[in-house]
Amino acid sequence: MKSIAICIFISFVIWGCSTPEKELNTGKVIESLKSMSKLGSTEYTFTKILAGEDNQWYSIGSRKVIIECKAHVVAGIDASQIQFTEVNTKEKSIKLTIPAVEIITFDMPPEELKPISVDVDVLRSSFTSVEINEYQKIAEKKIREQLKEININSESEKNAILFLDRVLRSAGFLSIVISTTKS
Amino acid sequence: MVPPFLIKAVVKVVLFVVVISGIYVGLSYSGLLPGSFDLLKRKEATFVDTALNVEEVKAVAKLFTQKYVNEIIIRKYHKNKGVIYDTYDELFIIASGSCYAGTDLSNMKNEDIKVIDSMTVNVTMPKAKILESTINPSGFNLFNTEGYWNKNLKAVQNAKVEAVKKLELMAKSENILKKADQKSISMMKSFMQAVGFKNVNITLK
Repeated sequence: MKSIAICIFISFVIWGCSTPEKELNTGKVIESLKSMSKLGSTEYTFTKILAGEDNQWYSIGSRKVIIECKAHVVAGIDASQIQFTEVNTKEKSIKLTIPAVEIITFDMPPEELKPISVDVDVLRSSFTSVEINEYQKIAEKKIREQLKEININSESEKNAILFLDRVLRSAGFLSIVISTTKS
Repeated sequence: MVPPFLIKAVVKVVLFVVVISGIYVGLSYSGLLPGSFDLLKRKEATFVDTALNVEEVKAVAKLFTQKYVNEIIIRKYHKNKGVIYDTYDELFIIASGSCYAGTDLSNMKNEDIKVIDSMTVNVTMPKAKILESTINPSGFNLFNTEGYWNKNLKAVQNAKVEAVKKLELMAKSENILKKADQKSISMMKSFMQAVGFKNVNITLK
């Protein structure tokens, strides 16, 4: 009995020494207000369906979830990097170069992340908020990865040029040449 | 009739198995077991990789001039009525995100830019507004989700939406709109001066 008591004591000590799952991490982001000069020229809305299955060898039955995610992406140019290569006010002609297109904002609003189907077997517990939150993080990671494969540059570049052309025509210019810097 | 010595032996074996199992579970929980020995280690969920669909593409002209970044704490309690006393389930979310302000030039008309002479131009621009408030899933840290909050996905989603609104309010309290207006005016002025106008008059409508 003495040895059993020692074993129980040891197991409690091991349990007690276990590291907590999460640590409170405040102050990671410092409040800041910064100036920026970006011209967003195209707004994309993407949808993605994330279908996941949780199956453990020691559990009976599985859990499946389908999450619909929406992401809004604004792409455009850094307006502070626009270079005026030739300006002739008398002849009303202008030449300028715009920088390469970049992603300005990436937004996945929480209200647009919906589990559209949850299928949990009788002997399994339902998905928790923490689990769904983790799956949403996976969805975000996958969308960001897939974004690199989609060519959003040409459309955004075209719209930025159209906007600048319109502004310059309103300002009286007749000959406008806008070229792009390739990234 | 089972002999007493056999019962004693069985009890000893059962106790031994329970204690060894306890130690194993303890080691597994504390993460002290090497991966290959840890049979209780939770396997990650598997995901089917689906395509990213483009739902909408819209041409815009938004001048992003201010970015506010901050961390927000959302703490909520759900009351559970009890027979003797009530208990409370806590939700504790730490969220970090950004709020963008600037001028939406999409609806600017040609007549909003009036050339007075070769040196002077009058520009009428819309006032600055919040263009986007963003807290992405990676920005949400669900630190504590007790009882009600762990099961009620919708309630947690509402708390997240509240966090986004709170971020926007905090940005506004930092005068983000006023600063965005100032920056938009200075950007438009620099642009018009770069194309040859010496006198640039800008009004906000």
